[in-house]
Amino acid sequence: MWSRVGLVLRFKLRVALRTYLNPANLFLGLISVAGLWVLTRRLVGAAIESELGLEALPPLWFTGLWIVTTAAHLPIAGRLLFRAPECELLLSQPLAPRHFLLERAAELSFPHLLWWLASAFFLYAWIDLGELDASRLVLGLLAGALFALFCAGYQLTGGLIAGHFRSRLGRWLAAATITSLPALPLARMPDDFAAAARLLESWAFWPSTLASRLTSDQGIVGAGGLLAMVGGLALFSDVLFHRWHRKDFSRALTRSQTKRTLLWPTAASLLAALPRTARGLVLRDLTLFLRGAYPNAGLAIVGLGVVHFLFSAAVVDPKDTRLAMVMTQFFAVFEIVIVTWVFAFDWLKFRSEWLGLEQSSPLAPKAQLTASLVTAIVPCLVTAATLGALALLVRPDLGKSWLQLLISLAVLGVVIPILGVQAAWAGFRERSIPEETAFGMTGGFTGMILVLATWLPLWIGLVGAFFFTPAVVRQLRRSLDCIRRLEVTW
Amino acid sequence: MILRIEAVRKRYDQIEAVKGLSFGIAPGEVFGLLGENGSGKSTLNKMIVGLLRPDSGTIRVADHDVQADPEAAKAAIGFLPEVPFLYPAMTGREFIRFIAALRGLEESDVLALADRLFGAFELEHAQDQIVGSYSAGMRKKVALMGALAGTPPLVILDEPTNALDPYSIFLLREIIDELRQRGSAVLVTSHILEFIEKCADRIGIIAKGELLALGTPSEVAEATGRPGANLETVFLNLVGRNTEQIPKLL
Repeated sequence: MWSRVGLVLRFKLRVALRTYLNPANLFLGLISVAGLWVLTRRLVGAAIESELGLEALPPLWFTGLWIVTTAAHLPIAGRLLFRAPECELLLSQPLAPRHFLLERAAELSFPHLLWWLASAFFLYAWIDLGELDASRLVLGLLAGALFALFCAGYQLTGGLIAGHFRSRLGRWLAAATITSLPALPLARMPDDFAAAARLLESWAFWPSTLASRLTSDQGIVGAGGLLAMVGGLALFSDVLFHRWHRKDFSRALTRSQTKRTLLWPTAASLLAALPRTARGLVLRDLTLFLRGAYPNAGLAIVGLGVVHFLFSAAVVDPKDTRLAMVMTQFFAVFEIVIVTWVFAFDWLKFRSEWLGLEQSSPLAPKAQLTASLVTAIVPCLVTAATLGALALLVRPDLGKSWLQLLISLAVLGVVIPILGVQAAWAGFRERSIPEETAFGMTGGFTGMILVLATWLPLWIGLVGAFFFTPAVVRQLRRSLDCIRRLEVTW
Repeated sequence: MILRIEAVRKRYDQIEAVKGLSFGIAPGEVFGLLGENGSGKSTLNKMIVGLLRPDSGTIRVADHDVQADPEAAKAAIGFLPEVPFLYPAMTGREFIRFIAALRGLEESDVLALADRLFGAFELEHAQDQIVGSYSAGMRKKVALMGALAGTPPLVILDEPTNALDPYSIFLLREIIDELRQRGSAVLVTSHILEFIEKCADRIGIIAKGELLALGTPSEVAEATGRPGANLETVFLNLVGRNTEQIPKLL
């Protein structure tokens, strides 16, 4: 049995090596790793020595890079679980179902990662309430998660290290990063790293901290954790060991053959005021968005992200310069980016894959470019406005620095055209792992972190000025103070 | 001429895919473009519909230069690519509506035509299902309906018979006939020579980006010294394939 699976995996490893490990990529990979090491030292130093504010943005940027690349894999893993193009090939071969499932388990090890992380979070919360030294247990769980990560490691490293680093955008971003490095203080080795690691612990287990705040009952948290683990395992085995069975394909096919007659006509009548072509493009995007698998997964992330964002905006002290607090603040901003990214990226992708249809239609290039820009930018603006309004609701006293405003406008002026151009001319392939996780793309999204992080006060100010009277803001503030006091008593 | 191609060239790095092609297609004419894999057919089609830019030469559709006035030229073209662009999350009917919007056509007219074609191809049951659930043949038929939206003066069909069943191929020939009668020109590329033989008024045979022969099937046969021969024999002879000395392959 193992020899068959081993053969399949060996073959896939060979393909991966051929794809990624050519001399040029290796060279770039080595440079990248060395560069990231230097960057890490600089950024950790900056995070520890600076106060929360603009100075803290580089660490946020760096962390964003890693988190975006990791997070980018989650929807991909979900998609590959059900719809990997190679599945049909594998299923059509004389490969026993158990061999196939083992191959899938190894290939799609990110669900492992999710499961292990969920388990770790809840276990940490449970032990945090007691007086046990949780570090070894937590480290063990994390090691398991990292092992799972390593199983699909070639996907991550391939995209992260090689990927689009050779693209023009990637090179520009790399150059910008390298030239900005000397401006940052260097971390003192190894003390600062140890301090950072200690502080990071409390940030990394934020959900468990919340769990322990929500209830101080160790039994409830423990039972919840156990339930999450059992549920995760059940879900995992259900997905991997049952849904792949052929009979379930027929069920999926039946679902896909459902008649859908409501969305397009309803939306068309709502958008009747738009010109015919513009309406067609908007209806197309809307239909694809609402029926796509990515956006549905994204909406779940958005829900979680908004909750966390509000929580962070409400409870984190902006003057707390500990790395854990910086990270928590960052994570809140990161979620804004994830929200934007989930929406914007999908739409960019939709546009690029079928660009030929538009290019061969009697649609002027200017109209195509405008449609692409609107498609890419509107979700960003709507997201920023919504979250800005929400931030104002929970934290009206957030800063309104003119310097931040000016910088944000300048960065905005640079990044939005880049997004637009990407939207118009991106050339993604069907299997999008390297593109989503590569430096160029990730750099683009982390650029959005900068934009949104610096831009947030502007939005808060603008939204506050336009939509809330001072009396309303005062009332909201009073209500939120009450909620915050309640939260502190937990 | 509804389509006029003059001295068009296109090079991909080291390979010259199209080497100075020139020909035209008149309104109401069905023109079959034949060539082996990699001969430059798809490159030429893509240049006509504006997906690729020629290195030199001009392409005019309905008297509009594709480079200088691309919107007007494209408005006169209906294009069925070899691998159709269809959105898996859209229904077949929604795709047709989208094409109508994209081409600035009256939706009711386009849908009326699509309804007739959905009926003819026996796809009424699937028109409100998402394209993701369609077979390759169903996708091809829906893409064909998109190409026929507004009955454009020039219809380009790139390998239209791929994935179609025999009855659908028969219907496709009927559609091409109707287009001819309505005065639309059809440029069709296919490896199914029998199909081309049955429906094309004139053919062009290209190899390695060069036009080897041009004319009616009988003119081309005569020009190659094989009057009365079928298109397969003429084609293989023209592209230099020796079919008589092939060793056992299995």
